[in-house]
Amino acid sequence: MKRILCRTSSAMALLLAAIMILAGCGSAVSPEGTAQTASQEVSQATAQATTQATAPADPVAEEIEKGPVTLIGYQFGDDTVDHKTVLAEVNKKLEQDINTTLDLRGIPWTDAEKKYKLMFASGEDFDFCYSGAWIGFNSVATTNGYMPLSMDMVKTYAPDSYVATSADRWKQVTIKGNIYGLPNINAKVKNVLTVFRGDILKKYNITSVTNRTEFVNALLTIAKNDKDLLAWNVGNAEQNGRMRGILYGQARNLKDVISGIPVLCVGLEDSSYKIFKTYDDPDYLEYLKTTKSLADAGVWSKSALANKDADENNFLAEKSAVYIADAFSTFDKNNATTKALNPEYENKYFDINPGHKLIPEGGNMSLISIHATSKHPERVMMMFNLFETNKEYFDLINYGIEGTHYTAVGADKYTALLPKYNDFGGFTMAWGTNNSNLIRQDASTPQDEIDFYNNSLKQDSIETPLATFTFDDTDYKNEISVIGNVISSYLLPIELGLTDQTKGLEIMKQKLEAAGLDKVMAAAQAQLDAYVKEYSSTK
Amino acid sequence: MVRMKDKTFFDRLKEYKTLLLMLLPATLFFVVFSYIPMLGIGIAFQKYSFSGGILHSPWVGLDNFKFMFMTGDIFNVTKNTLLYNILFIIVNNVLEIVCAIVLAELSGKYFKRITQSMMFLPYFISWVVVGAFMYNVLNYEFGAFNTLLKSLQIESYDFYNKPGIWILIIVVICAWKSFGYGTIIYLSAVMGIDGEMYDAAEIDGANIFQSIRHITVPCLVPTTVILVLLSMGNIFRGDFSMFYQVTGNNPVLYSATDVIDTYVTRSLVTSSEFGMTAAAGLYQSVLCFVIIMVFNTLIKKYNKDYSLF
Amino acid sequence: MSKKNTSLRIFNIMGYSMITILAVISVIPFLMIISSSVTAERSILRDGYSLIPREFSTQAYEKIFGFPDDVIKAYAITIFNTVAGAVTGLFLTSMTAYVLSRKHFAWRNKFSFFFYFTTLFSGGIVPWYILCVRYLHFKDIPMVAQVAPYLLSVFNILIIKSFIQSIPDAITESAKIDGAGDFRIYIQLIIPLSKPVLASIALFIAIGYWNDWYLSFMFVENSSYYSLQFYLYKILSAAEALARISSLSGNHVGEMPKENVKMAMAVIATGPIILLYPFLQKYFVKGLTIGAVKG
Repeated sequence: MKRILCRTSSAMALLLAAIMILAGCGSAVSPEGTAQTASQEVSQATAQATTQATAPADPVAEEIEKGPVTLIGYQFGDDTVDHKTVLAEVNKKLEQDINTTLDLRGIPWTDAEKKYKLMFASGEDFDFCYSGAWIGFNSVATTNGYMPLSMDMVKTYAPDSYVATSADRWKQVTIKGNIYGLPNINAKVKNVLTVFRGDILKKYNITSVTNRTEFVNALLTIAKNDKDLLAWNVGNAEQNGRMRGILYGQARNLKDVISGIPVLCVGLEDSSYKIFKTYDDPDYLEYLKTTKSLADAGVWSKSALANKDADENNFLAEKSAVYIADAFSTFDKNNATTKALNPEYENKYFDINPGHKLIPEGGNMSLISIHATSKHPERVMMMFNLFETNKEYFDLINYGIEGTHYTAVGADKYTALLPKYNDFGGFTMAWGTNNSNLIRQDASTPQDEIDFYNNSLKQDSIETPLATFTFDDTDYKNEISVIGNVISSYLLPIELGLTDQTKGLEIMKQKLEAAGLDKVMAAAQAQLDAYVKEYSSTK
Repeated sequence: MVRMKDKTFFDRLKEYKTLLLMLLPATLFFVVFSYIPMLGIGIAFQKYSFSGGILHSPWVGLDNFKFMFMTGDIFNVTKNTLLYNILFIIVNNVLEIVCAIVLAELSGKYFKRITQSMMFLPYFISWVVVGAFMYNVLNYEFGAFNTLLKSLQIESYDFYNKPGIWILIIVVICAWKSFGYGTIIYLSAVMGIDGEMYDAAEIDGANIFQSIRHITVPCLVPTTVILVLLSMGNIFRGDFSMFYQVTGNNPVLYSATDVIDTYVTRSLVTSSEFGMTAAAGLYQSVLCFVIIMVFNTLIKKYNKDYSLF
Repeated sequence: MSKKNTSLRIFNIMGYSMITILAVISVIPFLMIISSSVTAERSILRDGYSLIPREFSTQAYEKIFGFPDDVIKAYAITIFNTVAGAVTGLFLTSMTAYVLSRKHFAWRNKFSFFFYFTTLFSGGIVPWYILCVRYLHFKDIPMVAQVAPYLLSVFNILIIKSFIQSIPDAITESAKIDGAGDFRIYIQLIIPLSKPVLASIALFIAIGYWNDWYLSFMFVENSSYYSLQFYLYKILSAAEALARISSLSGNHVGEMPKENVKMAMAVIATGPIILLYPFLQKYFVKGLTIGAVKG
């Protein structure tokens, strides 16, 4: 009896302690909550105030008058060697122009996504951060991590950005009626180039690789005759995605509907925007046959699934003949590197799906968002107004200090001063403030590459609501995570032809069904239809 | 009766004054770093929102647990986790005990110091590096092992397509990496054995095997029990980076190498939700809790001193 | 007598060969790391890692020590964390273990359970991070942030507790009769008697701090306070992170670290900690007799 009493009493004590802690925790948290809503009210109030009182003095000047402010912001990546030097230069100008100091901090590349979300969860004190669809812009926005911005505020405090940004761009960063950031204003497409090592092309007398059949044949030829290297060392999920792109998706002009779930696609030119499952498409099965034949011929390693090296790195290590580049800058850099090893290696690039449609990057891919608890949203906007539209600032945050990191060549080109350019390389926050009108091209880029790129940008890029449609997975978290798991467990081995494809596909279908793929597909279709309707109505 | 109890409580408080004072730092430490954050277990039952935080996010019941049970893979994965840990516990502890006993008995002072330090080295090698080395040795076309087979005119072995062999590989690699570390605890336990017992045994004419069998091994039982119990408290947890890096995250091997931690991490790549992460953690915690309560009670019945609590 | 010698000889042959084999297996990968760190990058990429450098080059070390400030600062931080953590941690751990081992302390099992329970259930990183950052302000005190969270581990407490339990009660009883209090018994009797286990736990705590990158990752924003292992961790995991991020974001991100630089960093980051063990080995003296201390 005594024992029992003793036990209950200690349990009671523990419970009491827990309640006390909870209470303490509660009282400690709630002021934060109120502070936040308060700050939102304040910002709304200021917005209202500015609209009401348009007659008196310039609100920007008024804001500057309020005194010096230090803005804390986060970008991705480790600080480069000259980070501090360039930042000091930026601050010198900022202090003069808008009485502001920028404290720009980095989130190290490693596990960056994890850290990014934690920062919002903990309610740390910062004013703005880089954001983008790929880092969970939508989910952070819908869980109130970013501050919603009013158009009036933007007009007042970032007037130049407001003018330079098209209505479409604003729409791309609008979620459930709220604007959650200042989008980049850079028209950009991604070329996908298959790159061959020159000496190997010569050795096997391969003169042109202009379509998929020729590409596959070239790979088979190399794999058959060259035992010292692999023809193409694919492996991880990213490269698998590119492979699927050039051998299947591009040819059919398809786009994934939900990021991370490549089995649901929609045709870019399909005006009804009908979502379908790739494995129901005969072309996809044809593609699988192709990859199987490539795998059997030993084009890539039998151990490719455990391969962590990018195809690019393998190519640079002289261990494979082909890689896929996603931009000319990559191609040029790697070409220079391999040519330094052996001049014979002179790389050649091909587009094996000429004329396929490209989707320009949307404004939600890279943008600057203001933290929900920031006390200085006006200053943040004033600062990014300068970064995005003022050439001096733009050059500084993208290319560094002139004379130290780069030399300007005319108004739209630059020459990097190696290795000093590498010491800076641009603030990554600048991804979110990119501006087509101010970007400088590397002066050493050959004209044919520039023409090629411009051509894709003008002729092949299409405007489509698919570019910025993001599936709202709020109610489908469980399904999405299980589907994602099934895909990473089964799709890669099937597509790399390293397992029995028919059997694997059967199992994958079953598992996807159990995971609720049909439910997600129906939901995605409904959301997409609604999005398309809204998109075309405002056109 | 109540009054009597109160009295004893305060009496004890007085009696234990020094002891309690000595416990104070640890108690504070665990309250701050473990018990207060533990309230966050609630996240497992919430749809977490940044503005709501832990206290004001909406409750969603068991919704966050669903993703684990939708395809039924979790059972295979849980089984894998359990079986791997059982293998690790047996293999690692046996190896460590043998090493500790042997090292304690050998006489070469410098030999012992040098070899022991060498045995400790694998512990410092990161799993990423281990994984890279494995790929370098085992890959089909250019791996060192298969190059050797080729030079001996034997057909290459496709490691990365044979799930079964990886059970062996992982157990061996795990033992290799941690045995130097584990040996130290057992060695310190051997060192703690009263030397007079060995002297007495020698006078009685016992040879070395006999004194190990009758003195050293029995004296190691408490340490072994406590270490095994401690490992049992983690028996449903897998070392993510070990399984991920050593196998190169190869999907073909999942049937044999997928553990709860890798499975969950993979699920949450596309939709990372704090609630779901917490739910998976709670699932593991509950399983571990059951196991440890059962075994601790059993051990307590056998010998009170050996139990954890 | 000769029978006894034969058995000793058999034991020695078996023992020496077993330990030698295990030691060699353990050391080979480490030698490969060292060798790769002084191999030319091109040679590693083309021919893989090897025990003897195929093409010698000190480029990796030149690159790392091209900006020696980072490495030197990181060394200082790591050494501080290790020393501060190991000294404080060992004291607190052993003191706690001592109390839990006292048989006359009726609440010992309750407290043991109270501590052990924290290893089973945890709130996960979110509440922990919120507590540390918002309420304990760890981001402003990096030197504390990188030491405090790992001061006590239940594992270590219970190991020491089980060791102290094996010390015969007679010794402490007699001290008690002489009028010694609990704290004095701990300091004057238990600590000297527990040297082997304290040495090994000190080693574990020290290694735990030395190998830690997580606290730097979580709480340190100023790179001058990064620990050595965080630099290593970043370099080792950069390839995967950079490839993923550049493909997801559509932007080109920093340079991939070179293979030989990774290995050189691994060598530098392991550094002097491997010398700690031989140093502590002097406390591993067999048959530390109770009588010796008592006398």
